Amino acid sequence: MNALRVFRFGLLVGARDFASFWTWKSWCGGWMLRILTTVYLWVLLGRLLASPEKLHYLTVGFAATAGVGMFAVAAASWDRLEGTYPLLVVSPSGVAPSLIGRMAVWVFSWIASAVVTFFIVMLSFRWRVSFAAGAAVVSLIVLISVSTFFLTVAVGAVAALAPRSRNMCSFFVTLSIAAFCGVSVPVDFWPGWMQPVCHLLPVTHGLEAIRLVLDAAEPGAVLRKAGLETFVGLGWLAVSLTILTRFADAGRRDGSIDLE
Amino acid sequence: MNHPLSGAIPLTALLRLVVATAATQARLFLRNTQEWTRALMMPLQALVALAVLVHSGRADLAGYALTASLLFTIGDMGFFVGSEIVAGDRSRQVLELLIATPAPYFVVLITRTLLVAFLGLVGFAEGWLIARLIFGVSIAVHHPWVLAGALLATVFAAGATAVLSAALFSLARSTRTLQNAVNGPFYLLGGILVPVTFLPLWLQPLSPFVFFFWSAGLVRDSFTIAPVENIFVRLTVLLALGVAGATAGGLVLGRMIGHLRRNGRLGLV
Repeated sequence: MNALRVFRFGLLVGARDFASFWTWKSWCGGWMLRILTTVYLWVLLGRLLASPEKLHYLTVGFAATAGVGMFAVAAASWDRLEGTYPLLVVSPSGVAPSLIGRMAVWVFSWIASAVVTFFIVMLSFRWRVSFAAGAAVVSLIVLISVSTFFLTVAVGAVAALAPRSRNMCSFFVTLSIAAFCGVSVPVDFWPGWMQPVCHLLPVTHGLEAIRLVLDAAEPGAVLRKAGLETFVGLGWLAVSLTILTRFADAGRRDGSIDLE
Repeated sequence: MNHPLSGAIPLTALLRLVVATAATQARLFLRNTQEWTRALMMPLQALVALAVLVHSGRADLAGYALTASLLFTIGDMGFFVGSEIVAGDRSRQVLELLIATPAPYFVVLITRTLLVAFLGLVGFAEGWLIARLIFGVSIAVHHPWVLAGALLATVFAAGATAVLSAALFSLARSTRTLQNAVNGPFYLLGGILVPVTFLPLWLQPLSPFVFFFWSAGLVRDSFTIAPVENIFVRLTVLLALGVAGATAGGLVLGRMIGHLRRNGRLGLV
C-alpha cells in the first residue's frame, strides 16, 4: 500500500517534469508536429518503394509506435543529477516506487502520441476500421507502451549509473524498437541468432497483434500475441525491479550511491 | 565599441581568432559526452532505412539511406549542438566575457557552428560503413566532385543557419521544446530520405526554401550514373541559403545582444 502511495507521489513529480518540457499548446503544436513529420518521413519511404503492402506495413508500424520509448530513460537519471537519489535509496520504501512513478508520466505521452498519430494516419489513408477494431488497436497501443515502459525502467536504471550516457541509452531503445521489433521490417528479416532477441523485446508481439486486428484475424490469434506481449512486459518489470534493488543495495554496501 | 558584427580587425588577428575558436570548440565538443555520442548515434538511423530498402529488394536505393544518414547527423549537430551555443554561453556566464572582448562574437559563433556542422560529416562515413559491413551493400560514388562540393556546401549552409537558430533559441524560454519541434518538419520538407516529389503537391512549393532540399538532391545525384544537371545553380542556391541564414542570424544576434546590454541582463538567464 505504501509503495503505491510513493508511486503516486513519484508520478506527481513526473507531472512537474513533464510540465517543464511541454505545455498543452507546445505538446499539441510542437511535439505532435515532430512526431507526425517523423512518421510521414517513413511513410514516404513506402511510397517510394511503390508497394502498397510495404506502405501499409511501414505506416502501421511507425504510427502505432509513434513517440513510444522517448524521455523515460533520461528521466531515470534526473534524481541522480538533482542529488535526491541517495535520499530515495535510504528511504524505507526504497528507490523503486518513486523512480518508477517519476518515469511513468511519460507513458501517458507515448499513448497519446501513438493513438493520435494512428487515427490521423487512419483518416489520411481512409482506412475503414470498425469500432471494435479501433478499440482493440487503442488497447494494444496501451499494452505496447506499458511493456516498453518496463524495458525503459531497466535501461534507465543502468543508464543512471553513468547519467551522461542517458540520452544515448534512450536513443538505443527507440532505435531498437524501430529496427528490430517489426516496425520497419518483419523480425524474420534479421539473422537467425537475432530473432530470439527481437522476440524478447517489447512491441514485437503487440505490434503483430495490431497488424492481425487490422487484417481482421480471428480474436484468438490476437489474444495470443497480446498475451505474449504481456508476458514479455512482465519479464522486463521483474528485470527492472531486480536491477533497481541490486544497484541500490550495492551502492549502500560500498558507499557509491552518489558516485558516478 | 565592440559591436558583435563589427569586422574592423586585421586579417591575421581574424585568422588567429578563428583557429583558436575552432580548437576550443573541438575540445569542448570532445569533452561533452552528450554531444559527441549524438554525432555517432544519429547515423545509426541508416540501419532502419537500409533494412527497409534491402528487405524490399531495392538495395540500389541505398544512396538514399546514406544521404539521410548524412543529413540527419548534420541537421542534428546544427539543431541540437550548434543552436545551443549561445544559450550555453549565457547559462555558463561566459557570454558577458565574450561580448566584452574586442573579438566580434558573430565570428566566434559562426566558427563554432561551422565546426560542429563539419563534425556532422561523420554521418556520411558511418552510414557508408553500416551499408557495407552490416548489409554488404557498397555504394558507388559516380560524381565525386559533385559529392565533395555538396558536402562542403551543406556544412556551410547548416553551420550558417545554426547562427540564426542559436540566436533565436537563446531568446526563447524553452529551447528544448523548440529544438524538438523544428527538426521533423525541416527533414520532411527537405526530402532528406525520400525526394520531395513524393510529398503532397501542396507542400512541395515550400521545399526549395529549406537548404536540406538542395543538399539532399545533390548528394543523391552524386550516386547516380546519369550526369548531374545544373550543378552550379544548385550549389549556388545552397550556399545562398546559408548566407541568408547567417545574415539573418547576425542581425538577430546583434539586436539581441544590444537589447541585453541596454537592460543589463546579459548574464542573467
